[in-house]
Amino acid sequence: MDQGIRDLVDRARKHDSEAFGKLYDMFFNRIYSYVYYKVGDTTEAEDLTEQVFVKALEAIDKFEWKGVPFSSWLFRIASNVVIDYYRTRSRVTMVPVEDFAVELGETESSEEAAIKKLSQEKLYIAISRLTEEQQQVIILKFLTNLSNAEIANTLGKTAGAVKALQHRALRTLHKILKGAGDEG
Amino acid sequence: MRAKKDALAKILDECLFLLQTGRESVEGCLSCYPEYKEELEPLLRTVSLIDTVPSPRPSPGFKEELRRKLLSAMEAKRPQEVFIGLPQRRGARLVFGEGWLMRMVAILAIFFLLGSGTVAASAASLPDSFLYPVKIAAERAELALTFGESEKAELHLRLAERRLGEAQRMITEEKPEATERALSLMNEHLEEAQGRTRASAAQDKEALYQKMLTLTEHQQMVLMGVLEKVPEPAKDAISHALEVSRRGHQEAMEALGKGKKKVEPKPAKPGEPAEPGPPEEIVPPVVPGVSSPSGSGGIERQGEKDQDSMTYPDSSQMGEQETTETMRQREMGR
Repeated sequence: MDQGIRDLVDRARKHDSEAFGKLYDMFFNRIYSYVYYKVGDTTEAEDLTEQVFVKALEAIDKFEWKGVPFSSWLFRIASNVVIDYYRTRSRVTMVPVEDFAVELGETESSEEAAIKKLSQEKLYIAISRLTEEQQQVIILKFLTNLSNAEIANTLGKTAGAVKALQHRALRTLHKILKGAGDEG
Repeated sequence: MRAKKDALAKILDECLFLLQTGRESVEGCLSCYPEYKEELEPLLRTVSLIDTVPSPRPSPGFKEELRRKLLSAMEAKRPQEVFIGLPQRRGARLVFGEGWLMRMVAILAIFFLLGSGTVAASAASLPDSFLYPVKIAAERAELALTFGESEKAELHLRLAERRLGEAQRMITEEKPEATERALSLMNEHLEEAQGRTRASAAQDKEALYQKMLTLTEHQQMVLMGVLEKVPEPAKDAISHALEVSRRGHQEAMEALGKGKKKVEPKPAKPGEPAEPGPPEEIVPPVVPGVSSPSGSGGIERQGEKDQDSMTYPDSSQMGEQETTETMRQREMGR
């Protein structure tokens, strides 16, 4: 797998469109998921996903293997695109906290029921209540399936720090999903 | 306490690995670490809950459409390196017998690969757009399909004018890298036009040099007007473009037998002293709608109607394709 990606990246660096297309196919869903759970809107997620791949296309010939996986390089681009998006936005969308809390509150006695009801939108709302770092690790680990090493490279942290972070993030997310809302 | 937390974080990570690789269930993990069951269970259940949420999907067709656009842009990058780059040697012009067939095939391949829709969509793209390479590729294809030194020279002049309009837009939008890209291409087109003009038939030279004169005057007016207002990286690119423009202007002036005129460069801001004059002598920048003194001693144009389609973007509007009628009026008023 890794060697396959390496070959594709090396070919894409030489402007091989077929190789770039295969990389796109490999990463599109994960990048889209990442962006979606950062912005919570399908249209915005499409726009930002496009920006991510355009930037990747523009920069791929400058990509160098320096111990950073290609996936981390791509998700760093995605992270920066999202940061720019929030930086340049004049209007901040408020997360509908009440809707989320009420609906989960009705089912908090049965976690199984909550599981069945959890939608992408609800999950986004829950994730958006985490700290920035916790959001990153939850999305990268559980919604885009990056390994600890890839997450560490994307976030510029050690693998040990990622483990500790995912522990805190899961604990907080569990409390939110249970309706406690404790983000500590 | 800290040691217990660290241990739990490590065990949690192990369990997550087993869960995510399908090697163990939640119950299986909990049975492996009964002493941590109370802390682990809610966390692992939360992960299971996340796993049940379907992945978000974009609107139908979005993924395929983006893929098509990206691959078109990537294709446009590759052929440029093969044949689209401007010839480095004057003798390596595109003529029959010099790889002509190969180039034709490559050009047709570009349009086949990119599709007419993408090429059309790229027409209005600017240097900061990812479709810009498609636009440049299409222009280079047009150049390759244009035969004759005079015709090529004229097309290069037109494209140089187009690049100037793009550079103006990029300056306005404070995009120094894109500005440099446009100016670099503009310089190449002007230098190529000079070479082609020299090799043109005698009867075509006068008209070509006249157009070169008009272009370089416009370049200097625009570039000197913004030189002091842009950040350093763009300033270097503009200074270089001015040098290239002045050389082209000088050549056109000499070829047309016009008297050399001193020029007072336009100050960057009202009230400030003008920039020190360049080493070469240049004519004053042309202001649309105002008669240019450079026209007074010029050779009359051969044709009444200007056949070129060079555009003269207004310095405030900076529209790439905008034709400034006043420029034509000035030409006719000579």
